[in-house]
Amino acid sequence: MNDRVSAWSRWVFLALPLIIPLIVITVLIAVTNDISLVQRASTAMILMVMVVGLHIFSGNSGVISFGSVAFAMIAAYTSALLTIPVEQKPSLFPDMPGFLSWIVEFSLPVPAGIVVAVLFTGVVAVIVGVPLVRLSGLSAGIATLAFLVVVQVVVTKWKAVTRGESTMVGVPKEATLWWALAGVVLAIAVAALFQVSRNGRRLIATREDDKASMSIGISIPKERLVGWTLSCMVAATGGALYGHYISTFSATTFGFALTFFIVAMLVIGGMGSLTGAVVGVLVVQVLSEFFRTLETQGLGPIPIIDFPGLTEMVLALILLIVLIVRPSGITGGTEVADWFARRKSPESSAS
Amino acid sequence: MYLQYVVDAIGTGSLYALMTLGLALVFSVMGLMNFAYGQLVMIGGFSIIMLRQQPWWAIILGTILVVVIASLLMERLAFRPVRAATAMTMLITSFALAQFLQQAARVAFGANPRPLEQFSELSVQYVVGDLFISRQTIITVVVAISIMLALTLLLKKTNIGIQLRASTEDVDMARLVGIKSNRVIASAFVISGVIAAIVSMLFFATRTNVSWSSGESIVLIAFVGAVIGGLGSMVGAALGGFLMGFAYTLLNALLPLELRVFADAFLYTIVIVVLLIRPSGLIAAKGARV
Repeated sequence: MNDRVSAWSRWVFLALPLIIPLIVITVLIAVTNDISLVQRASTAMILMVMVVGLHIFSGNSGVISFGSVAFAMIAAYTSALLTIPVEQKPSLFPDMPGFLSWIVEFSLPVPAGIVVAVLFTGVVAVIVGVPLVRLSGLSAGIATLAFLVVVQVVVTKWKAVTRGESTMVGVPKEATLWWALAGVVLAIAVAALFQVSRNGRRLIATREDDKASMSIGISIPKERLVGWTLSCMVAATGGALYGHYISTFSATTFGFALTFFIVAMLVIGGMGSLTGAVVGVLVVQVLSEFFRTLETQGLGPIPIIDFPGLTEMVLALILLIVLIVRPSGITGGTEVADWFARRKSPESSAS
Repeated sequence: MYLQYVVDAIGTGSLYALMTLGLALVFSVMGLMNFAYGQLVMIGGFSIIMLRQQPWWAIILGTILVVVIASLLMERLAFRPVRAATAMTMLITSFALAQFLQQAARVAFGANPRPLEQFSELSVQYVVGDLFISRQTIITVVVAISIMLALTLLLKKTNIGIQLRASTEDVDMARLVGIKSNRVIASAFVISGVIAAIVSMLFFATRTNVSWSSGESIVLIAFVGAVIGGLGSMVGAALGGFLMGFAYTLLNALLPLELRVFADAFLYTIVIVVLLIRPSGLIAAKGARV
């Protein structure tokens, strides 16, 4: 009983300090009605959904995954296939193989499409996860990277279903700033819930000391699989939202570049804390939008600095500097709640 | 017919084995999976373009010099500060460094690939029975074998090589007996740089252009080759790289036409399966830090 009360209060202290400022900022941005600002905020929050998703697994288990973008991609394509208007489907997918021909015959409203896509991705995540969660360290990194390559190749080459290297078009563009906010609030709420749950705490225990946690009867593969599946489903939500936000995309949209960005955001913010995931996205997005503006339109007295790749180069440099100066990220793996409690977080050693 | 595929596969396999070796050497000494290794090959590619009009020996020496300097700078500026951090922090540092170098090349040389004039003298074909063997394949195999022999000699016979191997076995112990880890690690980066330069010459000799993104696929292959071969084991790395190249060529040649476009998907699925069966690689090193 006592345990449950404190779990709920910990959930509140973990999630609300992140959710409330995000809602306030979003409302302020919506009030300005500045189109480019609204766009940037929406992109940032959709990315945040994916980063929070990655955090649920990597942050709590200490095992890096380069595969979360693969699940975002699967969900984006699934939701697109389900929601493209029925009248456009025959011309977009003339060679749809027989066993998938039912897809051409109907179309779902976007919210339903996203839900089905996320559930489907969850099933894929379980199938892939059962063997993969047995790996740790570099093997896990390589295996998840290999999975990303496999999904990339399949999506690029399976022309009949994914339109191959041509972009996916006709995807209903319904996701707005408010959808992005809803996605991020949901992602943070789920991530915080997981972190205070028994499963989440057991997973964190395996990160802190795998042998000690095994000795008290924790099954590492089992706990990782729970975190992995949840993590992939949240990343999938981000991917599906992204699809309905940009409405035209291809396999390269969900490639190494996006993977790098998402992992970088998590590391810059501070791996091991939910606050770090949120802070990392905000810092990286603000910086990258600043340089992108510089690249495309100049900023006040600063003239346009037109070099393709400049934004990415400077970001990579900043990431390098953060890693060298502060290897445990901006938050050092602590949560907002820890700052109020005025104590050093026991998680600060995590990375 | 099939023998021809095997010849081609041996050529690609030898190149990939070399690639993997350069990556694995640094890993075994300091536990760093250097994602930026592929960018060294990319830098090599651009220096070949810059030196294309020079005599062949100048191209070779110049490229080696440029890449070795880049490799040393990498070690000094990016990796030395994070040496004490976890393997994962180092991995992500190298990830960031790779991204930085790639984008810097994009800013410096433009987003479009730079054309590379062909080395026509390398595409000469020899006919043996009903097999076609290009001069390029012969050179690749000969160079790969020579480098491996030279590396073996270096590691077994020279002072620095013995220090390197000692650090590979146990870094802390090596330091306790007075081996200067800074020097050993720097020399590992020098050797890794020489190998990367040679790989870039063998690799780009068959390509028609060099682009800022050229390094990406290379490091992926080397990375995967090193992990499935067995981290920390030089023999394992060479074997893993060789198998990657061998399997890649054979899959591309032998898969039925409609599945051939999925060759990479098959290759990386095999990689996942190998990792699941042997998480520490085909030839696991003693006390490997995986």
